[in-house]
Amino acid sequence: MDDIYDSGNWVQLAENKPGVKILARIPSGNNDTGTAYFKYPSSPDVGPIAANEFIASKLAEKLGLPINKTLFKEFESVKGVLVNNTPGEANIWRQYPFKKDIERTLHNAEGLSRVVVFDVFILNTDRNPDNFVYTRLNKGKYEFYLIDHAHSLHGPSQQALDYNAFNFSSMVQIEEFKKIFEKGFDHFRPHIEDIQNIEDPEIVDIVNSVPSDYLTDAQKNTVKDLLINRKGMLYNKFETFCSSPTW
Amino acid sequence: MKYSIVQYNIREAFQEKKIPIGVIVQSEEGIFYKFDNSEEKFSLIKSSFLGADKGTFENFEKTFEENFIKVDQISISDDNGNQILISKNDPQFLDYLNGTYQSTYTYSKPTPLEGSDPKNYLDLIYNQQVLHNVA
Repeated sequence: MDDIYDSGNWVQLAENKPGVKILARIPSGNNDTGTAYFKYPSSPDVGPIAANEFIASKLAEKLGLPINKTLFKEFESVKGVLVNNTPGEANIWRQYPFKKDIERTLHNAEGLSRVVVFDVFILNTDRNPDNFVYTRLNKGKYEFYLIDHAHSLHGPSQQALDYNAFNFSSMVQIEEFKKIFEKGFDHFRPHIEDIQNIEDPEIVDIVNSVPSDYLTDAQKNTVKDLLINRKGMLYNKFETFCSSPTW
Repeated sequence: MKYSIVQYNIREAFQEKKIPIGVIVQSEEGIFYKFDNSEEKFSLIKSSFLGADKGTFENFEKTFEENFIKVDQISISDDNGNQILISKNDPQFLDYLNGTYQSTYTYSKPTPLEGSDPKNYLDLIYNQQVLHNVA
């Protein structure tokens, strides 16, 4: 269980906004300096955001999607999750200067459709152009990675969770993502199959690995049901929506 | 009338350094802005942070316009993940930018201005705080 916790020493570098602090790591042993976002529930209403971030990151890693290492952390007596920053400059997708030339400039452009399927799978209703990031690889080439899954999966505590909800408009907000649907269902099919190839026990293990401080047993059962149910429904839901996409 | 400074944030070695790259003035007459996308400014940023991306820096004004000026509204999300629609005509526009964007490029907390000539203030603040200052 230890590897799901970050044991490094960190100091606060900046206060971002309620629920988010920017930390810098004090070097020790093999750890070098680095920065990370520390995300914690700023109020009871925001729900189990640390658990949502952690589970989403584990699923993304399993699917080979680019995502920063995410670990549970207690910082100044507050329990939250630590999301390590990618070295180098990261910018929000809203600022991506080459949106008209994505295929040429974005190294992993073919992966955008995988992100769409992933977001629908985890019921991510907050993938707007500020929650999707790019970083420069080398001259003229960039790559994307995923951030901010606080409002996926279980979502806010107060939210009446409907894990049969497949409102594509809420889960696909980025314009460049919507355009992928013009390529038709077959474009998504292999990525749906990748998710359907995740065995139910693997999902159960990931959710059960969340410490009870971050997710109650009842909440864990909800998230497990959500993921297993949605996994089974992805194929039909995508096939139906792709036959007549409406935003 | 109020203004925000657009800053390039460099976070490393346990400190945060902010390099001003532009000014946005909001008045009853509308939004006025001026950015420094010069080679000199980028060199200044690069001297503190080797990983700085020139493509994003050079195109910042263009993407700012496309995202916030040429559109009627944009959708952002609050701390609870709820979607909020904002517009450049909203009196809280600069506050939204300040509260929402906290990564590489940030917008300072809006500072009130008294007066009636936003373009004059824009030039004045730009000259004082962008061309001749590193916060």
